Amino acid sequence: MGVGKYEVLPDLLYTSEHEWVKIEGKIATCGITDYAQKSLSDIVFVELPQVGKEVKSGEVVCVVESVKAVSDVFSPVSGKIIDVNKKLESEPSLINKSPYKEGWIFKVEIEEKENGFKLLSAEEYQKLLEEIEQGR
Amino acid sequence: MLKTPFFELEKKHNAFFTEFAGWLLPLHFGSAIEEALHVRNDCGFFDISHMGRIKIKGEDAEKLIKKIFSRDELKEGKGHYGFLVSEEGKVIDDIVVFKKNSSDFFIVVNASRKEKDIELLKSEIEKNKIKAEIKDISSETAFVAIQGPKAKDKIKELSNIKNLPPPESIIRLKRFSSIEEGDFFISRTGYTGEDGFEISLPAELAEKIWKILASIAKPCGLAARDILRLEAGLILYGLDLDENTSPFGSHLERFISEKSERFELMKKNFLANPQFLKGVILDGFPIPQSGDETEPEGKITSAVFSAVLKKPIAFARFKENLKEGERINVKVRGKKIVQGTITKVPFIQKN
Repeated sequence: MGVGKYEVLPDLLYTSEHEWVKIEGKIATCGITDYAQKSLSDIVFVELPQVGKEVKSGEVVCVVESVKAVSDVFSPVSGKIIDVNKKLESEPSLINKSPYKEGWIFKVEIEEKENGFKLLSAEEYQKLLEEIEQGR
Repeated sequence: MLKTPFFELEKKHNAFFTEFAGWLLPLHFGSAIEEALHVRNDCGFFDISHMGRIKIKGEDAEKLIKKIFSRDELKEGKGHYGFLVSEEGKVIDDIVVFKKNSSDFFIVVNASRKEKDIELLKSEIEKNKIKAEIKDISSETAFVAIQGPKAKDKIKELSNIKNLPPPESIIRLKRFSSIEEGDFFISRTGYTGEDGFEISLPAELAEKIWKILASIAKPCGLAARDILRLEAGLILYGLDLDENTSPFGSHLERFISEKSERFELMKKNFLANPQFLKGVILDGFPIPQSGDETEPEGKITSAVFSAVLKKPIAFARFKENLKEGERINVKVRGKKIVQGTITKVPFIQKN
């Protein structure tokens, strides 16, 4: 599924800030969406979060930089950062090449699911993208 | 938000848009780095219809230009880069003045400063009883920049455009020269450090020229334009220079003539608060932002990731006249310290 040139995967949850989250048991894998990476264009630097850090849903946990723009990445869930994608340090463009797979950014061990961000279903996120596209 | 005559075509071409000086302009078409490199090695084109284009005609046209422009000697058929200077000696804008003859000029100004520029021109006309008329043609025309080492080979593909001066006469233009014919204005100029042309044409021909250009060159957005201009050491008014800073001490002295009317005022303003604009190559990430503070004391004025050098580069304005090779610290967004080295501009050397 998707909107125009943007891919939306049906089995993921999303935030209105264009992050995706894949929840498997207590572990949430997080990244930025195809729309986010396409609008940023070439990602040249990713400042990864600290493993072990406690984060709240909606809190800025790291930064993704393209040639010109800096984009904050928020944690979609509350919990503890348990892993980061070290490959992004040497190859930040993995986010451009594969935003939903190889370009994952961090993993959180979930404490509470919904105390900050409302997580969107793929259908709801798709609707949001449609609105953005029409607004142009 | 203002839209250029190319907007619908850019949208169809999957442009990502951004707001710039009240205009909706393409930021990139997928990859700003690829776009910038394509301009360095081949040819790319840019929608620059937001830029202000003003005709100045009348028997005193040259008198008006000389009152407000930082350069004194103006050659016919040539464009002259320089500064528009207020009565107080402040730089209102950086502009290019094309002289057809002493009573016929064409000036290209920044979108964000056009209203201020026109205000200054009008007040000078009134105050000094100057016989000259100014006409803003920006909204009735489209403006496109064709840039890159292969730009001259692409021009002949434009021969189907009705009433465009013959491609041979465009290719013959020397650097900074221009021709004006009917509603067309063409100059061998640009903002990328590469060879190239800028063409102002009637808005109704926008679709035709876009389609031809898209088939022979790469459409490029503002992000690529920003990379290219900074790599080439070209300043952006509003960031690297403004009313409160001076082109003196900013490797821009060659665009200021001692004989220009407001030279002394400009010089006095500089000496009252001397600051020095320098090129900086950063050791690494994050990329600084305009306004980030430096040590020795100064501020980043603009910064970008260089497509050629694969590193962040910046302009910064310092209190001291730092020398090439000196090391600086930048506090990026008030947090992380990144080091850099003062470097001569342009950042890249063209063969």
